[in-house]
Amino acid sequence: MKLKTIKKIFQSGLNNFRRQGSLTLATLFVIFIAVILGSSLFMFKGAVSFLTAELQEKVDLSVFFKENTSRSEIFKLEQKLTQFPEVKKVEYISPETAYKSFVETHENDPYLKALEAIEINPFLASIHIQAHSASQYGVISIFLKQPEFQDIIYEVNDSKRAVIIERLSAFTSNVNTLGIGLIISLGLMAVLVTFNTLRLTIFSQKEEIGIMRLVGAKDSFIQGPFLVQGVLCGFFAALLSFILFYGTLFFVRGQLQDLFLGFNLFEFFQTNLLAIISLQLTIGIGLGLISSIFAIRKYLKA
Amino acid sequence: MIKVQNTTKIYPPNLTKTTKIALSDVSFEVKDGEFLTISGRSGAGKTTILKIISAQEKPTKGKIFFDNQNISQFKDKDIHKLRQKIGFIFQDYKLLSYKTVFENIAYSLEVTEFKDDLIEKEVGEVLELVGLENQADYFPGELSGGEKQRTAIARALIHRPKVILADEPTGNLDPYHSRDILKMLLKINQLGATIILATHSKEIINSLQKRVITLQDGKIIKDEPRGRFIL
Repeated sequence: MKLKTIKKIFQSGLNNFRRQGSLTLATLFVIFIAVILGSSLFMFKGAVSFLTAELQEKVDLSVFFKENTSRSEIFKLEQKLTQFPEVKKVEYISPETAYKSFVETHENDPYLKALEAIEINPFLASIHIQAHSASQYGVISIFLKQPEFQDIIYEVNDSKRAVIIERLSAFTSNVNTLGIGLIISLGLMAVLVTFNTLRLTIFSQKEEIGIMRLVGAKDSFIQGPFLVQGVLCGFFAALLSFILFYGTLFFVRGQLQDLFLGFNLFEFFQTNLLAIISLQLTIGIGLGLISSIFAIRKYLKA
Repeated sequence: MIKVQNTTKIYPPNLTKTTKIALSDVSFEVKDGEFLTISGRSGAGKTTILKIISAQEKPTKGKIFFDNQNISQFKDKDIHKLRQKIGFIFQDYKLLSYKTVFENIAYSLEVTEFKDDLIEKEVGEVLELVGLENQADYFPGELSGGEKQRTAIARALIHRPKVILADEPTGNLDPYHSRDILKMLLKINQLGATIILATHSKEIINSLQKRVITLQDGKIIKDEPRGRFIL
């Protein structure tokens, strides 16, 4: 196809886009809603991942050792644990360090005075284990509860937060599945609505299409302007949703940070700008293009 | 050049209509440079024949050959090649209201990717041929019925088609303009194009003194080399 023809097709698509104000607006609006939903899901996924990671950082599994356990025995266990693929980090806390930490954090506490009075360090040596994900704490806990460690381990403290995180992970996974389902259903709906609004546009130009066919225009020449129109609708829908997202997140970033427990949505938006723009353009232009292809197909038959 | 072989066209029933047999076992041939008139009352099948020849409709049965090619087997994407060999003239002109006379005519060449300077030259020539050189910048709304039809003829001629299909081209015109259009079609025919004219006008058919195929209820009832109006 010649460059001049491509230019003409583009110009014709642009004219269609401008001339059919209300129909263009309706198509643009439907695609806009779909783009907003897609982008919101992306942002929501980001927020949930952040919260999960934040909580995951705060969770660990503590193992307290019996009073007579030697450092070398603890070290051997540490070595075994670090070989586990599930284990991210193992940190040893000596009774002295535990005592010092307690003193620092309970400066004005009456218990501290009582502790000082008995002049004994009641803290046990311990190790704090961090796994890569919340679901892995169970396996580590089972390993530590084996009889071979009963002589040295006083207590394995399964953190309750791990359960919360596991639930959160399950929730995130469900939200992902649900979100993908939602996106597919909404995408289908958007295709249907966009398809119908574009079909109306095409119907209003039925005669022109008929004339084009009769004078021997190729399918690409007839289809081209409508594809351009669909792409333009998608592009402007993506652009509008980008402006809306940027504006909203910028102006209410403080409130949103409180709402999302410290997660800065605006910063996330800025960091993932390229991914978000690509997502919005893909959804917008994709919907516009697919809908136009389906809508014009009928008129390309004889 | 055009061979219609045992062609039947049946329109399937829809919500309001029952099955309609538009053409029933129709066969005829049209030679290069011939002027053929298809006559018959409304609903006799005249327009259906033109639509089948131009592949706007597919026959239910039978074969249509255009330059020895069976066009009933053409794929949708290849039909434009056939259409570039045919010029169409309609009763309702089918001009684009937002394009000028020049642009309406040039459109046929634009869609087939002609160069701008060539379009300019060709449109100028054809405007002269149909006597519209002074109305090139007019919009269809500013033209008389006869001028609109001459624009449509110019558009049909612009890509130098082998065949012109004219469906009741004088249906909306007064006798003066009808004669004018008829003269133009005869002139085009003399220049070498095959003309197939569908009309139910007694005056036109009788004045032409050319071959006439008369249709009734989708069947050919008469095919005469110098026919006259019978229905």
